[in-house]
Parts: sequence; C-alpha cells; structure tokens
Amino acid sequence: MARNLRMLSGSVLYIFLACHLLNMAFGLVSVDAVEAARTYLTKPWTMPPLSPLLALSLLIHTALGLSSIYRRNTLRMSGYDRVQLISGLLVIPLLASHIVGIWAAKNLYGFDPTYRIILAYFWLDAPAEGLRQVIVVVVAWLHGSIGMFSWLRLKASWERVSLFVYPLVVAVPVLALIGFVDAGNEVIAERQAAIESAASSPPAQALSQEEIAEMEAAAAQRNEEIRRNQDLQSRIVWGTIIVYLVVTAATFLARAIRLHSAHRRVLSVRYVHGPAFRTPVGASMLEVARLNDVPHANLCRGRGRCGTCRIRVVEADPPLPDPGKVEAATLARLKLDPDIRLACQVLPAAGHLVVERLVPPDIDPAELHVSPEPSDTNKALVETAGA
Amino acid sequence: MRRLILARALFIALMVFGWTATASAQTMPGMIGGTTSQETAETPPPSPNDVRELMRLLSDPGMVEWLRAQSEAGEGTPGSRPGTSLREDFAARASDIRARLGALAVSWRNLPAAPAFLTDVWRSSITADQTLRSITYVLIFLVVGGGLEWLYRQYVQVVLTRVELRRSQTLWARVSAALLRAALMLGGLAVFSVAAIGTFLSFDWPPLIENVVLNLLIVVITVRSARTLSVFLLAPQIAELRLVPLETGLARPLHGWITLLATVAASAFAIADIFSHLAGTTDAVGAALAVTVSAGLLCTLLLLTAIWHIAAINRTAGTSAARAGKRRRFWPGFLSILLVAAFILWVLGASAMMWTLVVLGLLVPVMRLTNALVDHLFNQAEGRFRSEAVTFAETQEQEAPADAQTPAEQSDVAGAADGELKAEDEEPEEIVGPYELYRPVVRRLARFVILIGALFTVLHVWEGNIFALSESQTAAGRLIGILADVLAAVLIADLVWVWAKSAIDRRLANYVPPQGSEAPGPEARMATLLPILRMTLMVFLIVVVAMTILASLGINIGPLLAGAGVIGIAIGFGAQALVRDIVSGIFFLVDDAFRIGEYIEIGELRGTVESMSIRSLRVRHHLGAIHTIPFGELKSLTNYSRDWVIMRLEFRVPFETDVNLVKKIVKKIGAELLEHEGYGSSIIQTLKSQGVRRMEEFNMVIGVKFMAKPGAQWLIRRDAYQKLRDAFEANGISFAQRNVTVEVVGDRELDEEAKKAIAGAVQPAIEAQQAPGAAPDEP
Repeated sequence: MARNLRMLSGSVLYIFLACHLLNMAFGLVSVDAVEAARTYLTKPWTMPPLSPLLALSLLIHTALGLSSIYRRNTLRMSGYDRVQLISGLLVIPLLASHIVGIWAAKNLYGFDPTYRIILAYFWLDAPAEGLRQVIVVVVAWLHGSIGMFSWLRLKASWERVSLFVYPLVVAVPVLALIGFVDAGNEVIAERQAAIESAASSPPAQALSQEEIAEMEAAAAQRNEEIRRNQDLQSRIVWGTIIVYLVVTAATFLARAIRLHSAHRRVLSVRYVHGPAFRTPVGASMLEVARLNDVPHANLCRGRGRCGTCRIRVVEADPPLPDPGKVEAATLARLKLDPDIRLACQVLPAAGHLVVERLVPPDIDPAELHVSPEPSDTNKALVETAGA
Repeated sequence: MRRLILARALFIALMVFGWTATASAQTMPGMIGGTTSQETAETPPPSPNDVRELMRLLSDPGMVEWLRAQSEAGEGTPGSRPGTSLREDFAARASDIRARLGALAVSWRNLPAAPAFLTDVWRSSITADQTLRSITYVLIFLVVGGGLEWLYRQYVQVVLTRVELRRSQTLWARVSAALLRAALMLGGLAVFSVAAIGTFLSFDWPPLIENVVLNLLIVVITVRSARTLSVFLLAPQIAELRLVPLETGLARPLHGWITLLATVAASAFAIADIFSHLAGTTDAVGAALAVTVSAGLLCTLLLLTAIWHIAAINRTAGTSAARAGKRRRFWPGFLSILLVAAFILWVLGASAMMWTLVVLGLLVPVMRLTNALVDHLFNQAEGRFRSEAVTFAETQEQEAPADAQTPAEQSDVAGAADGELKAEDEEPEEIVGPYELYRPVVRRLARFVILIGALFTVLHVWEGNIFALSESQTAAGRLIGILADVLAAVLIADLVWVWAKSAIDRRLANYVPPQGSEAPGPEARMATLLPILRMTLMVFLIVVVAMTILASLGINIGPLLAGAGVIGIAIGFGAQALVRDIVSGIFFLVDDAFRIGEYIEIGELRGTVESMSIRSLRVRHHLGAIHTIPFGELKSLTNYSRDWVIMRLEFRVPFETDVNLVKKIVKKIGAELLEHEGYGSSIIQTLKSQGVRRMEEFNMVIGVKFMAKPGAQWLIRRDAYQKLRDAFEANGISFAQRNVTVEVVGDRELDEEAKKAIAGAVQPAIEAQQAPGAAPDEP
C-alpha cells in the first residue's frame, strides 16, 4: 500500500515537473513562446482537478519519504540511493519560496505571474533566487528520475523503452535550463533597452500639486501594503522551512535511538566464494554487504521487488525470521526454494550466518526477463558468479 | 590615454635598446631615452609638445618605477640576450630576487587591506547580480555537461561494470581491462567537457564574465581529469585492476589526497589568476601577489600533510618493517624539506632554481618508484607462470613449509609500496617466465627516459631553447651540450648492452652441456657463439661511445676513422687467412655443421669436437690425439653424430643352417636389446635379420642390421655379436669354419705322410681364400 502510494504520488509530482520544465524549454524560441505554451503545460495544474491532487501528492510523498528514512538501517548506501535521499531532503526547503511566491502573487498581490515577470525577477531583481531555482530544478529532477528508474527498470519492456527514456530524461532538464538562460538573456536585453529608452524619452506631462500628492499617498499606501505582504510571505516561507527541518531532525533522532541498541551486538557473516567478516547488527543483509564492500546485485535498490538480491542461506544461527509480506510475495512470484531469501529484506540477529550470492552483481535489467524458468537462470547465474 | 601610449612607445624603444646595449645601463631610463632618439634618427623629430610631455612623464617617480619594473620584466625573459657574461646574468637574477622581496614586503605590509581592495576591484568590475548570474551560468553548464555524461554512462555502464567485476588472470588482460576502463571514463569526461564548454561558447558573454566562467569550468575539468587518472592508476576500490603496487589501505587515502590536492590547487590558482587578471593594472597594495602566495602556501601545507599522512599509514601498514624502518622515516622528511625549499624559492621568484631543485630532488624517488612499478608489472605478468610452477613444486615436496614465504611476500609488497628498491625477494627456487628477459631492459629504459626527461626539463627551465643552446658559443652552453651528448651516448649504449647481455647470459645459463655419451643439443652451438658475440658487442659499443664522446668534445674523428681504416686494410691484407678463419668459422656455426661433443671426420682426420676458438676447431681422435684445424681449412666435413646411424653386421654360417631359425633368434635378440636399460632407449630400429646376403664358396653370409642414435651403436654392436654367438651355440648353429675339403678318390687308408703331402698341396688354396677385411674403426 505504502509502496504504491509513494509511487503514485511521486509520479504525479514527476509529471508536473516534466510539464513545467518542458514549458521552460520554449525559452529557446522566445519568452512569448513560453507564455503561449504555459496555457497548455502549466496552467492546468493550477486549476481545481489537478491542483489539490498536486498538493496532496506533495504532502504524502514527503511523509512517506521521512518514514522511509526512519526505517533505514544504514546511511552508507550506493551512489544513487545517497543522491536520492539527499535530493529528496533538499527539495522542500529549496522549493518553499518559489511555491509561496507564486501563491502570494495571485492571492496577496493579485496579479497573474507571467513568465516575463518571473524571468525578470529571477534574472534581474533577485539573481540569488534564480540560482536557487536552478538548483531546485536539478535536485528535484534527480530525485524524481532516480525514483522512476528504480521502478521502471524492473518492467519487461524496460530494455526497449530505456533507449528512448535515457535521452529524454537528460533532454528535459537540459533544454529547460538552456531555455532559462536564453529567455533570461532576452529579458535582460529588454530591460536594458527599456532603461535606455526611459532615459532618452521626455518626462511625463506636468501634473498639478494635488495630483502629485495624491499619487504619492497612493504609492506610499501601496508600498506599505506590499511591505506587509512581503513580511507575511517570508514568514510563511521560513515557517515552512523551519517546520520541515524540525520534522526531519526528529526523524533522524528517532532513527538514531532505534539503531542505538541494535548496533552493540555483532554478527559474523561468511559468503560462499566470498569474504568473511564481522559487522554490527541492525542492517539488512544487503546493507551489510554494502558496508563491507561485497558487490551485490540489487536492481530495485532494496525495495524487495526484483529479487536480484536473493541469497541462499546455507547456515544461520539463530534461524532467520520468517519472510515478511513483500518478501514472501516476491519469493512466490519467482518460485524460489525455501532456503532462498531476499538480502534486502532479511534482518539478521546477532550470531553466525553463511550465505551465498545467487545473482552476479553486474546483472543487467534485461537479463531479468530472459528465462521464464527461474531455477535455470539461477544455475547459470551461479556459474557465472563463481567464474 | 595619451600618457599610456607614449609610455608604451618609450618602453618598446627601451627594449630595442636593451637588445643591443649592456644590461647595466637599463636602470637609468633618462639616458636611454636620449640615446634612443639618436639611434632612430630617420624618424621625424618630436614636436616640442611631445618633448615637454615626455620630460614631465620622466620626472614622475611613479612612471620611473613602472618603467624600471617593466624593463626588469623584459630583462627576465630567458635566452633573449646572447653574449651576456655569467656575472651579469647572476647580477640580474639577484636584482630580480631583490625586487621580488620588495614586492613581497609591500604585499605583507598591506595584507590587512588586501581583502577590501580585492572586493573593491571585484565590485567595480562585476556587480553582485552579475556574480550571482555567473554562478547560475556555471551551474547550468555543469548540469548540461553532467547530464550528457550521465547519458553516456548509461550506455557504457554495463561494459564498465563487467570490466570491474570480472577478474582477469594475465597481465595483458589486466592492462587491456584497465585501458578500456580508462577509455570509458575519459570518454565520459570528454562528453562532459565538450557539453559544458560547448554550451558556454554558444552564448555571447561580456569579456570578464567569460574569463571567470571559463576559469571555473576549467577548474572542474582539471579536477575531474586528475581524478580519472588517479582512478585509472590506483583503482582505489578494485585491487585487481590496480596498476601500481599498493594495498587498498594505502590506495584509498592516496586517491582521496590526490582529489583534494587537485581540487585545492586548481581552484586556488584559478582564483589567483582571476585576481591578478582583475587587479593586474591597478594593484598598488600587492593584493594579487598576496593571493598567489597564500594559494601556494595552502597547497604546500596540504601537500606536507598528505606526505606525512601517507607515511603514517604506510608505517602502520607494514608489519615486518624492521630493516626498512630507517628509510621509511627518511623519505617523508626528505620530501618535506624539498617541498619547503621549493616553496621558498618559488616565493622568491627564482622559478628556475625551484624547478631544478624539484627535478633533482625527485629524481631518485621517482626512479625508485618506477623500478618498483616495473617490478610490480613484471611480477604480475609472471604471476600466472609462477603460481603454476609453485603449485607444481609444492606438490612435489609436500613437507616443505609453505608459510616460510608469506612474510617475505608481505615485506615485498610493503617495501614496494614505499617505493623501496630492494634486491629481488625471489621465491626459494628461481622460476623464469617468458617476460623475465625484458625486466632489466625495461628498468634501464625507464631510467633512461626519466634521466633524459629530467635533463631536458632542467635545461629548458634555465635556458629556454636547448637546441639553440648547443649551437651557442658560450662555455657553459657548450659544456652542457657536450654533457648531454655524452650522457645520451652512454645511456643508449648502456641500454643496448644490458639488453644484449641479459639475453645472452640467459641463453647461456639455460645451456646444459651434454653428459657422457648423450648427443649434444642445438644449444651447444649457441654456447659456442654467444660469448664471442658478447665480447664483440662490448668492444663495438665501447668504440662507438668513445667516438661519440670524442666527436662531441669537438675532436675531429674523421682522420681517426680514416687512419683506422687504412690500418685496418693493411692488417686485413696481412691477416687475410685469419679473417677467413674467423668468418668461415662463424658460417660453419651458423650452418650448424658441427657442435661441441660431436664425432666428425675432416678429410683424413677424425675425432670428437672438443672446443672451438674464434679461429680454429679442436678435435680429439678417439685414440687421444688432438687435431687443431683452422676453420678456413675446412672444405667439407662429415658428421657422424647426427640423428641416426645404421650399423650392418654379417656373419658366415654353413650351408646347412636353418635360415628361419636364425631369423627367429635374431628377432628375439633384437627384442632383448630393446629392453636393455643402458642403451635400449637409443635404439631406433632394433636388430633384424636381412636373410642371406650372399653365397660364398663354402658358406653363406647372413646379414643383420639395426638403426640407433649416434654414439650408441658401438655398444649395441658389441652386445649384439655376443648375444648372437651365445644363442647360436645354444641352438646348435655353428659359424662356418675355414676348411678345405680334399676328396680322395678310392677308399684306401692314408698314412701320415700322405696327409701331410695333401695339406701341403692345399695350403695355397687356403691362403688364397684369406681376404683380410678390415673391421670398421671404433672410437
């Protein structure tokens, strides 16, 4: 349930991000083209059927992410996992000011935030915000892409699809960023031209004293209103960030407390055709392997979906706990022997363990679907692993 | 603006003058200005305004200072002034250092003001918005490059993982795996660089931002290149792909340090470059200098930390480090001192001195490291053969303690990691692989390359163009040129000599002289030829090197060569026979006409080849006499010791003998001979009967023959005769006896007288039949 929910909410967010970035890529043509594309690519997401869905997805995905951090046994992980975790943590604080800013533009200041205004803001009025925006694009796209890959690469059609997916995944952010630069250059040039023409154009027609005073009063009032709104806006932004940081810190703290007791005891592991070592208890077998530099296949990155991390338990003292629901489902799907377990789901207690890796660490996703008979594949894989 | 142009014109004139005049006058720009106007007389005379302006400029102390600095900078360009004396050169360098010290002092005094100054300069050149925007640009370009590189990696990742996970056995497989890995990684780097810089170039930029952004991109690319190279060589994660002799415990921190140092050094010097670019024209407080020096200081300190950290790891890693302990403490200290000295020299601006020091100081460690590296590569190359041989040896002697060699191996690895060159800690038995021959050659070659490289670097640093230098007429230049020539000649000769010597010695060491009656193998010929060849080569090399040295010293070796030629011709005529002997000897050996230990016949002479000199052949007759035959006298030569010989025997039996029985007996004896433990293996075709070869008056001749290896036939023949005789006797076959049958007609008894008379009558018939057949000679 949680897995599917995470996948669903993540997909919604990812599709939105892709649409938003594709919209920005029109900057390669012109700012007007971006504006025209906005009607089809970004506008629908701000309307009721999609906008509540988006907000809900964001909330659910954040909560699920934090809970998965709490359940994580080690912070030493593969490069992709590390990038995904860190980028996931960074998205909210980086994105807060952008979301709040767009919301404020509509609700507090009452104007439609067109791309021309936003681009001018990012490139000219607040270049620091522009820099932040670039960072958040990269971070969010990384996080989303890694998640999508971990999910998609287990599908049978992955080998055919991947040829097109890889270039697309790179092309979307690259085009968006280049579009961002190009549109930014255009906006900068426009602004410079405007300044020059303003300097050369004659002053406005003379106004009477009262009119000037009236205008100044209105401007002061307007300024005051803007200032208050800005205060409110920054309070919301910082409030969000601080709440998020506190929740995150609490999650890590809870995780540390959970692991503290487990880490004292020691497990000794020996791999058939591999090394033997002693390691603290509290990590799954996959994490143990990673902690001790044992190469280990895991296509779904420890989510219990692919079954490539399977190990044959040769000897276990004390016996391992029974498979959980996820593990049992995968084991049943692959029709594996009873002494075979998924390394990513096995959480060994202190004691002694002899296991054997069954899948070569360099397995290709395409090889998952080669043979329908799992026992045959097993044999072949074991042979290649021994070689 | 006008001032600047004028000053520049003056400076150019100054430089022109500086090329022709002595260097000492250059500190007085006022005088030079006058001289210049005289020298360039064909130009129209300056207007009074210009002259006044010039006078005003020259009276300005700031301008004078600037001019002097510029002229000194011009002075500093190396190799521009042929014909300056050593003293002037030295004085110029000393004044350079003094000026540098002055600049350093200024910079130090104004150090507190430097950050503010740099900030001001930065602000005046780029606004804060522009700074932020450049960071955004850099980030975007890095993302573009990184994205494309990731895409590239998705397609090569499978290959890369396979390369990293599959363990290869042979050196060639390992090297090709490492090369493939490096190519894949470099491909990624190239994609990254091209994408990042290409995107950058496709937009238009203001020049300063262009400089800054490009500098930052280059920093990133430099750091990544260093990392890729380090991964290629060190392979910190995968010990099997490592090309250098290091343990994982050492390779990982080393890789980390390399990355850190590359990052810090590249960014520090990029920042220094940007600032000196920014502040170059208006730098009054020496801020750019301060930035540069602190960047250098930072790098030096980091490098020092790295050296001691690596040394500490190394010390804890090596367990049996008792004998290497002293050296272990020595090298980090040495490197630290070298580094600090180099840094001080660099700060003082004596870059030539610094590079010399660095090159000379690193020469020995680098050579040791290279030696260790070569050894490591060869050990890996030999590894397969050696491990096979060791397992074979261990199965042979089970009781030999196997753990005796583990500490030796450990210390070998640790020692190699330290870059220590030691005498080869070979395994108990010398096991020679196919590449062993090239080990000393490769070592020498590496040393040769390093030495030549160091020499060229030092020369380049000091004098710019080395090739122009050797043409120059100064004493120092000529001396250096001669030294380079001599060194190169000696090193090349040494290389050739080591290669030839090791090849020849190995061939000779493999040669086992034939024992007893064993036939000599083809190696015997090489055993004869190779020492001669080695001697010849040595003489040749010495002569060539001597000639080269003499030639480079400036002595004309033409007459020497001509004289040698004339004398050579004279001696050649005189020693024609000698030359013929030597040359034909070589060709006899090349033809493989005979080898030491073979039985040969030359005309009337026969015997076993005992020895060969460069001129003659010594043959011992089987009766003990020694014949000495010059090679030139050999016309044709018969060799009795090649491949096989056929021995034919025959004996006479009476006519009534059963030939079939004889055949059977011969066959049986042949089988017996074949089973003899002494010579049985030397028989190629055993004894067999050829039946009746011919009929004679009173008996028939039975022929038998066998084929055997040369040298064994005599012994076999002896035994064959003996066995045949015994077997015939046992089977009642008698050999035909010489008898004359006298038929007496009538049947009366013969008395003694009559018998004697008959015997006397047939005596001539008996004697006539006696045909003394000379038995073949036997050594």
